[in-house]
Amino acid sequence: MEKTNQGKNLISILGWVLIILIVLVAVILLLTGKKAVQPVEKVTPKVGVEVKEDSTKAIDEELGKIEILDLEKEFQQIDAEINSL
Amino acid sequence: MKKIVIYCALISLIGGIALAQGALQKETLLERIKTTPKITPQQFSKEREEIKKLNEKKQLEIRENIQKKREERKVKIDALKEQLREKIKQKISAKKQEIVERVYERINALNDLITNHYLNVLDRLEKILERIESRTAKAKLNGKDVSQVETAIEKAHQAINSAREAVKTQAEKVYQPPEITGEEKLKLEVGKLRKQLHDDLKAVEKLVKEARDAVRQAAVALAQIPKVDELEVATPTQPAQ
Repeated sequence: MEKTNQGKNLISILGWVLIILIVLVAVILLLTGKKAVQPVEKVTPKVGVEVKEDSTKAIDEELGKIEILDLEKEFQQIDAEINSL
Repeated sequence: MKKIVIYCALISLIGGIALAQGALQKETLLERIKTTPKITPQQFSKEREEIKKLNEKKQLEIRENIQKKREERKVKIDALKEQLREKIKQKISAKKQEIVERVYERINALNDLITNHYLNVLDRLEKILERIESRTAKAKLNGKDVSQVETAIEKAHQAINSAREAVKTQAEKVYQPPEITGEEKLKLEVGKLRKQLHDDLKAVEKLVKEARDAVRQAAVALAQIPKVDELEVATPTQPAQ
């Protein structure tokens, strides 16, 4: 009699474990399935902010590019010729 | 009666021409927006383009003028080179003759190179100044106080014009060949010519640097206006009917 009771208990425990496992698997499947359904975020290409040509930044950049030739350097060739006289 | 009508017609014609010239002389954006404070963004862009074209035309005219003078100068320099050759033939060795001729040629070529470079710098500075004026005009149209920038812009215009005049004069110069007496003082005599060009170019360089500094000052004054880069020409609102 006891043996049959123990057997019934074991079967009910196994049944519960099985139900819990099925629920867990279902939840996992549901979650992963939802993820797959989620729309893919569109990756918009990052466009560089256009710098206005009359902005102070652009003006500073242009001013920085202006270089005035070094006169002494430009005279070097003539100086070398004069020195050879 | 007829005379009065003719006089009136003549006066109005002369007045009209004077007014038209006055309008043409408004070569800066700030001067133009003074007369049209309720300017649309399209009109503003149009005015800017016109100013840019006027500046480019002026720059091109200066270059063409210099180029024309250079061609005339080249003929003179070639003749002077020939004279130099004849003069030094009996006075110094053939090797030194070659060097003296080469130095003389290089003196004039270097003058061309440097004056060209200065003209390029001044053209670029003028373009930058036009941008400064554009941003200043936008600030002014938005009710900002731009008096300091306007003063700095005016100074920069003057500095660019002075430097350009100096470059033009320098570009037209024809350097005379050195006076050669013999081999003893050869270095000294050729050195005098070199010093002459160097001093002349140094004086022009000073003016070009002053022009660059003046434009920089205008840019600094402009940057002191709070949030100046965010200001744009607003579309004028239509009056309610």
